[in-house]
Amino acid sequence: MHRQHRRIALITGSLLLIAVGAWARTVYVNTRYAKVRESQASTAAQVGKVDFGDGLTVVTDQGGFLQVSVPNGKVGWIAKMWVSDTAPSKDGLAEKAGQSVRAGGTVTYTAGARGLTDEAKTYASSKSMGDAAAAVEKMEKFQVTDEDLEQFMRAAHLGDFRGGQR
Amino acid sequence: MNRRHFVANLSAALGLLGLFTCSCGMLGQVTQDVTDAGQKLAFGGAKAAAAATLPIGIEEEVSYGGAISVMVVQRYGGLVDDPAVHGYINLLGQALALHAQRPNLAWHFAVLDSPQVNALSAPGGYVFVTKGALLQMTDEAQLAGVLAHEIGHVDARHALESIKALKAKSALAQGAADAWKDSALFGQLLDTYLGDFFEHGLPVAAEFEADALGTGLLMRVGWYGAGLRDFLAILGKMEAQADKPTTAQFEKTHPKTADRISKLEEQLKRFGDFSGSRDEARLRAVQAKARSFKPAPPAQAIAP
Repeated sequence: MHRQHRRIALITGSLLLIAVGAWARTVYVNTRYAKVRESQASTAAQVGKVDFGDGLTVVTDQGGFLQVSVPNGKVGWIAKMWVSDTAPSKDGLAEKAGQSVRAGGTVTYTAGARGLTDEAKTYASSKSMGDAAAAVEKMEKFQVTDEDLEQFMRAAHLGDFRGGQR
Repeated sequence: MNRRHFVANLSAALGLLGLFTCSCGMLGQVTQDVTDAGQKLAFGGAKAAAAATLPIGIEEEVSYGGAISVMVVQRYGGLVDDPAVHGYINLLGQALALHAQRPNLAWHFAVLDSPQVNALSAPGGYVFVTKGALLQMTDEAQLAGVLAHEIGHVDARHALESIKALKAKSALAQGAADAWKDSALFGQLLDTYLGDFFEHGLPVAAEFEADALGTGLLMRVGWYGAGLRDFLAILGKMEAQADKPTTAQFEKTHPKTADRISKLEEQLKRFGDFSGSRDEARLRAVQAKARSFKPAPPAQAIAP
């Protein structure tokens, strides 16, 4: 009889554990990248950097922030506006920072310096627009580093550094 | 008695689990329904059907975008090739693109060396604003608002949807998936698209949607949310006065400025608080650089 009770208790416990596991909420990063920090302050140490589409397990929901578990196993805080409850589409994930994988599987250009495709170049050439094509290629070569962007956003109070957010 | 108690507990636990699982399923379905409804709203039923039959991959999109950008640069007199101007427009643009709906695109931003007041974008992440527009702005949020509007066009694939519709009517519809690489067919498709684009612009609904998306993005990043509205107000005054030559192309290819302002007012009212960053000093410094920019003279042949 006592043994039977223990068995029932064990089954009940297991079912509750499954329920708790199912309750765990996953959110997905909806910006190109975001920083997860030790606290909600924008000056707090970085726990991890997460990329567009990464799934994060929610530990705590507090005001405009979520405490999440990041893929490296650590726990930190991220602003709610940088995550969504639904994962981005496969198409969106495939648009990886300007990389284009051609039929042969070779990455033919990288972010900021991909150059016009052969088709675009041929079109430009057919219209005698060589100077304009060169200008567009120069435009593509211009790169803003993540550090420069963060410095600008900090000075302009944008993104993680927006007034009053943290 | 004890046994009955445990059995009752077990039943209750099973009931709770069942209820919970059902709720999760329903929640997931509601989320999916909302997402589906949003996609239908964004693209329209007929357009969604065209997209399903003629998908355009990123390489094809970037090819159209690159070629369109070359035509835009050609038509608007080249770029303001100044490092300070280029750096500033790209910082603003990348700050927005980081949080756009398609953040992984390779986004590029530039100022066109034209007195016309206009801004344009092309599939794949190319965004342009004219020097004429830049010089009319009075704070950074206005420039960010205009860039965000153009990002909205690319995020929602507005130009790409028009190209898809043309593609469905062209010989490309019957060809293989990579038939667009045929230079003759590629050229014909783009000539048709660009002829219509420069004459009529994008559909009116697409312009209103880009206004809404752009203003949402502006707020999301932290700029003053009325940046785009304020710039349109400046433009409205120019249209009413004697600046027709510089705004004619803009007026021809966009819905009535007053209608756009009115819709943005409604959106901002829904936001309530739309305060945010609206620096003037950085913009003024870059305007001075753009104003004094002189394009390099064409290279001359050296006499033998």
